[in-house]
This record gives sequence, C-alpha cells and structure tokens, in this order.
Amino acid sequence: MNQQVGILMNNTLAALGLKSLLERQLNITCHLIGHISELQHPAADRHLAFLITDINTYLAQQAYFFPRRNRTIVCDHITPENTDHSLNIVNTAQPLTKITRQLTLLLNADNDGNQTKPQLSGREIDVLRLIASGHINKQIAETLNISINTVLTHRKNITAKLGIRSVSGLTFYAMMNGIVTP
Amino acid sequence: MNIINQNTRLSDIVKHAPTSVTVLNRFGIRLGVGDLTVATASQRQNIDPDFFATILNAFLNEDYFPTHIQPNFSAQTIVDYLEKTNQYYQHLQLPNIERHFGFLISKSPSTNNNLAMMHRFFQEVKQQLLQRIEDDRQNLFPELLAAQAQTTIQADTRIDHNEPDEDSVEDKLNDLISMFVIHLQGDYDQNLALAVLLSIVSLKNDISQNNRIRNRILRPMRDALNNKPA
Repeated sequence: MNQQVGILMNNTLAALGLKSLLERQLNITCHLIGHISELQHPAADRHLAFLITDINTYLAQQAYFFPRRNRTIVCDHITPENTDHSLNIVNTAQPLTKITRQLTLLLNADNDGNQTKPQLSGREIDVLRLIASGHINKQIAETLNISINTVLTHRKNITAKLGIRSVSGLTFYAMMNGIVTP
Repeated sequence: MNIINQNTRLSDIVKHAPTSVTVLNRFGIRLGVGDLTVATASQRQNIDPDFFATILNAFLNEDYFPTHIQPNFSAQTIVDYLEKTNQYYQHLQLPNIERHFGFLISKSPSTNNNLAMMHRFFQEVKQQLLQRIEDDRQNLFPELLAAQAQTTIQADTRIDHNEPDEDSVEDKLNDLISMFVIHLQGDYDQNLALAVLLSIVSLKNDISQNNRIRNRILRPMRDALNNKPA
C-alpha cells in the first residue's frame, strides 16, 4: 500500500497498537498526531491519505473531519447501527483478523474508487441538504439567497454528478453520505 | 427492430427481443411458437391483430407512437394484459428482489450501512408500485371497462402524445440502480450485489416498456372513451 496515515486518538496505547498493526501487517507509514491543530496545516491534508481517529475525537472535531469523511476511519468499540451512515467504522471489539480485513478494505478503497467518486461542490451540498430536508426550490432560493434559476442549475448538476433524480433518491443519498441525519 | 405488422413471425420477434416473451405469455402464448405470425396468433387467442401489433410495437420500440386508436381496440384485452403484468411484479419480481436483497444484507458485514439504507429506499419504491397496482384495480381498470361498456371509440381517433412516459416509480428504480452502480461502498458480497442489481434492472426495464403501453395506448383509450379532447 505504501501510503501515509495520521492517527489521532485519545487513548495513546490504542494509537500505538494501531500504528504497530498498520506498519507491520499492511506496510503503511503512520504518524501519531498529538493534537487536531497539527492536522489543520495544509501540508498535512496533502500528505496524509487517511486519518484514523476514535468516535469521541471525531464528534468533538466534526467540523474538521466531516468534509474529510471519505478518508477518515473511526476505530472504536462501537457498532455502526446508531452512527452516521457515511462514516467508515471499524469496531475494535472484533477479532484481530476482522479488524485487519476491514482496515485493508477501507484503506484500499481510496485507490479503488473514492478518488473517482462524484464530488459535489460546497454549494451543491448545501442545496442537497435542503432538498433532503423537504425544502422546495423557492425555499432553497430564499434560504441560500440565490435565484430559483441558480437552484435549478445546482439541481441539474447534482443529478448529473450523482445519477440520482428523485427527491427520495437524493434524500437517501444524503443520509448515506452524512449530509443529513436519518 | 422494424415495425411489427400482422405478417411478422413471432419467432423473429422473440429472437430479436427475448423480453417480448413476457408479452406473449401475458396473452397466453407460450414458447414453441412455430410459424405463428401476429395475425395467426391473434386469431388463435381471439385478439384483434392490429391491437396486438400495436401493443408489441409500443413494448419493444421506444420511438413508436401510435397515431390513432380504433373501435376494435379492446379495453378488456389491455386491462387483462396489464393485470397480468401487475401480478408479475407483485408475485414474482418484487419478492425476487426482496429475497436477493435479504441475502445480500445478511451476508455482508454489519459495518456496511449503505446496503440497509438502499434497502429502505427499495421498500419505498415497492410500496409505491404496490399502491399503483391497487389504484389500477380499484379505479383505472374498472373505469375503463365501464366506459367501454357504455360507449364506442370513434374510428381513427387521433392520439396526441403530450405526457411523458416516465413515472416516479421508474425514476426511483433508476436512482436505485445508480446507487448500486455509482455509489456502492464498503465490504459486500459481489455476486449477491450483482443479483440484486440485475433483478432491479429487469423490473425497471419491464416497467419502462409497459409504461409505454399504459401511456401511449391505455390513457388515450380512456380519454377517447370519456370524450376528452386528444
């Protein structure tokens, strides 16, 4: 794999254990991050292919992690049922073989697909969030202070990028990707 | 395929477009069609041959828009056909997708929540399709049959095609297909995911083809029987 990963966890021992696992078994270079401010440097964004954290850190630093959710992995003693559907979660209560397999899949996903995943612009995400919340075009235009024609253009672009046209389909997509909560 | 007429052989139609077998089955015609043509098959099944050819053309050809409907177009025939189509969705295709989806979710790691969300979306589409089927049975079909019992379509009634063929069920099935093809993430059983995808594509294609029959033949018949301007 030979990619670089940043680990930011409250539990130092867990972070060290994870670092050791990734370096020995998956040949990944890991950097232990002491504080979120270290990640906020632009170089860190370019440098690190993935960020691994625990659920409390993720929730506390959601403003940082949410836009990077495609390359963030939450490793913790949690099951995914009651969490954000867009999160990449690895439940650390599982046997080591399962943990390793999931991490391998998630870390490989970047090379396989995520880079070609359709990317919505910030404004398109705003429009999608409002569509999924049940707003009609006029309300979206008023909320975002843009014209209805601009809303229609954003909707057209969203559909073209995602291949999803119906309001229901867009709503489920938004839930699956953490843009709105289910 | 060229426009189907009364002399077209059923074997040529099926060889060119195998999905046409579902149409033939709904008219009581089974495989082993021999030398039957549209005309001879219609005679055997007691269907108007022009009407049968019109239905086959609308089903198979996206660009086919019948220009006229005739007095011999039978409301009972098209209602019987669409009721069999609805039964096919209700008792075969929807349970088939449901079964495949169930296997896919049960064989995939619980970490993959996308599948559960996509299954919820499928449930919504399924309910909408079942609602449409119920509406056909309670309202559309009885109204059409009652109208034809009271009045006759005028010869060469012209059809203007203004309404789009797609409906929201078709749109949502397209969206579900996109979710599988473009957006599916995480760990899952590839064979089972493919089985779900193909069964959804099959349902969507059948609905698209039959929406053409509903919108290009059935609706104009209803309007003509109700004396609505075309």
